[in-house]
Amino acid sequence: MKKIIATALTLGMVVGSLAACTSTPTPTEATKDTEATTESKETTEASQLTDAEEDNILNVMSFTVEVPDMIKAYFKAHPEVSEKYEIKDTVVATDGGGYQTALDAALAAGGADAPDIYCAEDAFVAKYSKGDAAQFAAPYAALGIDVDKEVADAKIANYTVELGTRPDDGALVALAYQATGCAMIYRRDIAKDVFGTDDPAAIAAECGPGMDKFFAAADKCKAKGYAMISSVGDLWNMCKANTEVKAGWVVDDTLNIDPQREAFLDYAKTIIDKGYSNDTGTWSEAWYADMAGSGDKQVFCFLGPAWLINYVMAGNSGSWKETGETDADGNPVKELDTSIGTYGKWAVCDSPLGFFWGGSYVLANKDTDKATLVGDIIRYITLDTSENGLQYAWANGLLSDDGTKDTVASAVVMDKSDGKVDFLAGQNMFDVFGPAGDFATGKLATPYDEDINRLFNDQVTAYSHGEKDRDAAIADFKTNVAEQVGINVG
Amino acid sequence: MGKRKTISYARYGYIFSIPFVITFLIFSLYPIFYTLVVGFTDLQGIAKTDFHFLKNPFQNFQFVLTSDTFKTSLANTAGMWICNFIPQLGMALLLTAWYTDRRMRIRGKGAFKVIVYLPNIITAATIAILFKSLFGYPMGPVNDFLNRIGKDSVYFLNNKMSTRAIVVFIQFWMWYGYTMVTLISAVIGIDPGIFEAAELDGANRWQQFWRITIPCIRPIMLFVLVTSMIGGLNMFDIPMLLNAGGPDSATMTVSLWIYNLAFTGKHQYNRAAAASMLVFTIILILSLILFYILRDKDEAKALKARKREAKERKMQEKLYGKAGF
Repeated sequence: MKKIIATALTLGMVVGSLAACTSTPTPTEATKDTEATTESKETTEASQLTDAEEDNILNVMSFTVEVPDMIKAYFKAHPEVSEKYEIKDTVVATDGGGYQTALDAALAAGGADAPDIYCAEDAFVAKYSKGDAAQFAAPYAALGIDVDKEVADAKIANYTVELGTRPDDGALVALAYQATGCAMIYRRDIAKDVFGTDDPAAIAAECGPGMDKFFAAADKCKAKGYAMISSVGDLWNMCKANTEVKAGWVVDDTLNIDPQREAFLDYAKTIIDKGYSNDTGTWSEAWYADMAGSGDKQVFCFLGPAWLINYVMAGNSGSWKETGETDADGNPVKELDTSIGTYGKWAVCDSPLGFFWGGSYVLANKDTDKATLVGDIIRYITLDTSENGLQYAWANGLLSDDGTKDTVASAVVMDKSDGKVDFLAGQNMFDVFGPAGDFATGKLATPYDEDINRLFNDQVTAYSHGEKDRDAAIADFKTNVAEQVGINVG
Repeated sequence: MGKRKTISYARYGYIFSIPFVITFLIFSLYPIFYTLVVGFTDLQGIAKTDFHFLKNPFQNFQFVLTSDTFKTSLANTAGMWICNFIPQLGMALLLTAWYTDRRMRIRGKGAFKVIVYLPNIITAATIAILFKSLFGYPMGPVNDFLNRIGKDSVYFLNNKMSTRAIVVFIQFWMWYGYTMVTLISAVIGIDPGIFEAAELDGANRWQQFWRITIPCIRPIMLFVLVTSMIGGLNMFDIPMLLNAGGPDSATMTVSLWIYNLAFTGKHQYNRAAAASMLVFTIILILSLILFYILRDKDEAKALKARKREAKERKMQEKLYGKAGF
């Protein structure tokens, strides 16, 4: 008896270890397949992916419910699709790198549960459109999209096309539905107090263009007891990817510190030393408090895109009063009360330097078994300029209950949309945000940006708060990039 | 028929262990060997599985050993572990002495034990996020309190020492209850007759604690020390979620660095594997040292004496055995 058990156990072990071994070659074969497909794509530009539907489940992976909700809206509008398919959405927050870890694993594992459609944020989209992970993406052309014509017809913001193009084969693999050109969002009451006017053109001329004028304006704000900005981080997005920056973080696999980006060290130091800010951190409670005007000092401006206004500032403006009632989910019902907070006291004007920040990009898995459906959905989200398309609804606030408006990637849609919002006291924000997208460039993006940005800002914080000197900060930054990201530092 | 009279229960043991053995082989042993192999290769990049062995097989190890980050992170990890373990063991011993004292009758002992153990039940992630917002700057509960008593806000999470102190405190606060429970179970396992005898002989509580309790729970203390050391050198979640190893790599632990190597930037699996193996070696050596230092010296002596005796007997047999014949 013992012998039989022993034999069975040994067999089990052998089979187990063999199973473990065989799991290695399978992905290798998959990589070979990819190589084969990319090769064939190079020869016959955009070979159409075929529908080999294994199931009726459309897997979607995202970091917010935004895109899954859009797909649900698409399903609702197309009964013939919703009859046949089901949506299975997986939403993982980006905090602590959770989303990318989950997405990388799901893409690498493949199979029926791999996402058919997945999303990437501007901060890390280059990893999925240009880096190693770009191998998983299907070219839009392979999904039945006539890329050149449809992009041109919709007048899609050029920088989003640059960001979404895979350098290996020049194929477009990702597009955003938002355009996130940024502006200076400033408080009208403070503007009147400091500069004697709240006219956007006059304020834009006071605070820019260029950083010298920005700091001159900061000085004037300081003299009246205001902070120019809430956090040093607000300025980083502008210094990171403005029109003056010549090259991104990585050039020829070697770290490149652009003078404009390096200058951010000095800007940060000036801001902290002279007290031009409330020294908060972006996305912290103190940052939100500054939006409501309840921080240390009243803050004159934030630098950001339209989504910052509608999705972050409006809700945190401190003008929402609880009615004492609760809704069906037990959350307190709030109503707007403009006598408190800062709602309606804001305006937008051109930022001192043109830049963009944020945006969600939509990608398709090259192994999707529902290429036609995925192509239709992606077209609906990123390229459809009709009034039934997503972007028109998104720009005019037709999707959300509270009518939140946003800038979108297609200039055609922008032209027929109305960007008047109460938060800006009725100013049409599209007048400023629309042209702002023209300054943006997607050419600086590298797959390692998110990690390098984080390491750089660690040093900026340390240097600006007097923890170390400038040379040490740059030296430590280089060491960290070499020893954590794996980029040569020359 | 006669053969079947004795039932061997051993086979059930084998049968029940099959699931473990199989999962262990697939999910533990195979990854270990895979890591071992990858450390000598050029494997980098997401979802790549084809790799080549390096011409200089130890290139990755050289990279790790010469990198500043490895030294910093190792020093951080060791420092933060030691700073948390000493007060943790002290506190746990103190509570153990109180809760197991037979003359000091503490009311609600069970409730206290549960309360002390509670922090261990909360997920580390939750605690890290909680402390992050507690020490928010310039606004957060702690800074609000400071402002209220007329002090300026302090940027705790931008200061190296205060961030380390917060990590150390969290580790201490999460784990002293666990250590206490382990030690209490060890003390309960001591034969009460020994304590009674000591009492009759007039030993005071202090003497009882140091002369009886501590020597008797030494094996369990070794267990606590070794497991805590392994856990401490693998410290990851709290520093990661509190401040992502910051500020300026002040709470960068070895595990966090390995994570950064393997799952961010260039996805350098090979270097991460090499670093993992080095950490494994370090833990192994330190564990062996601890086992050696904390071995039962009397027993070791007795063992040696027995061996010597046996040797002498053999020698004598050799010498006198023949002669006696």
